[in-house]
Amino acid sequence: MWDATWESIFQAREWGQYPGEDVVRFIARNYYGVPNRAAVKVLEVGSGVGANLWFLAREGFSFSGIEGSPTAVARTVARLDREVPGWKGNGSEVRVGDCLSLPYANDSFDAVLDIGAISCNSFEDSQRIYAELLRVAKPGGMLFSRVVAGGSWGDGTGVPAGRRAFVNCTEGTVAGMGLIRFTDERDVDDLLGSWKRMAIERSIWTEGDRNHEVRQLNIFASKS
Amino acid sequence: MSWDPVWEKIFREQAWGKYPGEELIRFVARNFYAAPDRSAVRILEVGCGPGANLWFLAREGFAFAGIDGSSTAIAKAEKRLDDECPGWRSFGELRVGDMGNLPFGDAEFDAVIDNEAVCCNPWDASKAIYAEMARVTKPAGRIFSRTFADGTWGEGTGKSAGHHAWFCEDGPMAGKGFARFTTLDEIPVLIAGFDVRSVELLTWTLEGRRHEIREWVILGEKPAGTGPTS
Repeated sequence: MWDATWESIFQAREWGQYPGEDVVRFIARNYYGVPNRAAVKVLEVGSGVGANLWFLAREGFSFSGIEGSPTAVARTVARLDREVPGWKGNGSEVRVGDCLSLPYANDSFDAVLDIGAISCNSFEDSQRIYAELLRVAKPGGMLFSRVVAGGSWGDGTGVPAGRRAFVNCTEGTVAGMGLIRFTDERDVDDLLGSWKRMAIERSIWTEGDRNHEVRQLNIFASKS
Repeated sequence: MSWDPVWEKIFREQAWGKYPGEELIRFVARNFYAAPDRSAVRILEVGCGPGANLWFLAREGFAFAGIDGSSTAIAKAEKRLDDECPGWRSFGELRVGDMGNLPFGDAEFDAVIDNEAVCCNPWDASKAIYAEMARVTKPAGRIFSRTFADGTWGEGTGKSAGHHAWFCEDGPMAGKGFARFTTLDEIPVLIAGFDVRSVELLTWTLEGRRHEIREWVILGEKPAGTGPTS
């Protein structure tokens, strides 16, 4: 379920405008070499203000974005209109909606991206979102999911909210961001359900002159 | 000469990164996004390659200069800026040149950036490059340096090339000529012209956690009240 905290976050902040390095790497490695990029369809759930969609548009891919915050979707569309004229040409679209019930047909996407969005959902909702992503991915399609990892700065602070989740962590990069669920490696299979797990990579960066660690897992899977 | 010609070949043949790294964006955002007049903030990148970071600086309205040893890289940067940032020449410049002998005056820049370029140079040359970067930085100006840390995949493979340096056979620097890896305690010595304010460590794995890349993100400030160093 989408947390309304994010509406105020997106209203207040100048959020990230550029794609993550690992997103660029994932797309480059898997799809830069295809003969016709416009035929590659990518879905991002929780697309925020659209930094990754903007990147996909610039690089000539087709995409869909779904995001709970109307403010974030409006900013995404405004930026695409301004900077990538004709971006809707290949059927690309961005909409306000709920990741728990994706408004797309089965077997629609070559790749599905979750860049920190599913981590804002309870364990049970997260399982449902991964299952929805599996449904809308094409056979052979790929999942890249970047999640907040257990032990990341802020884990265990705030109000406990179910399995490995806390509301309004009081510390770290996740402080005050509503519900945050921390993913432990042993829980990945349970979350992914019928996705075929390909690789898990770890990414850690420090903050505060190496006093804190922000931890992520990058999960790669395919629909067999 | 602090530049390895192998990079000319790399820039000619490889489709290089076109987008700026998150750490650099965060550095520029935290320090300069709130500046009342961004065009009055002037930033230098040494070893700018085909200009992903300069493109970002140009898009965000900052004045910039970039220098690289590879004429191919500079030509690519120039083409991209021409295509996407018309008018960039009124607030930006590109040079083919040597990082160890920067063609800029003392105290010209508000910030200087090294995105894994200095680490392609031996220890003494690297010290000299950082000293040159300090020279061209204004008092109280900033440095951002992202550089490979000891323990990175590939360190210790291939042919030894002096102080913590190899012509690596494995890892992200394999086939890219000279690579120097920096230890934590070396940082203040290496970057003597700046007060080091923070050193963060990025670690990330590849190939299903079989390999690990380790990078320092070093932020520093040129002491205020220090005059030109030459």
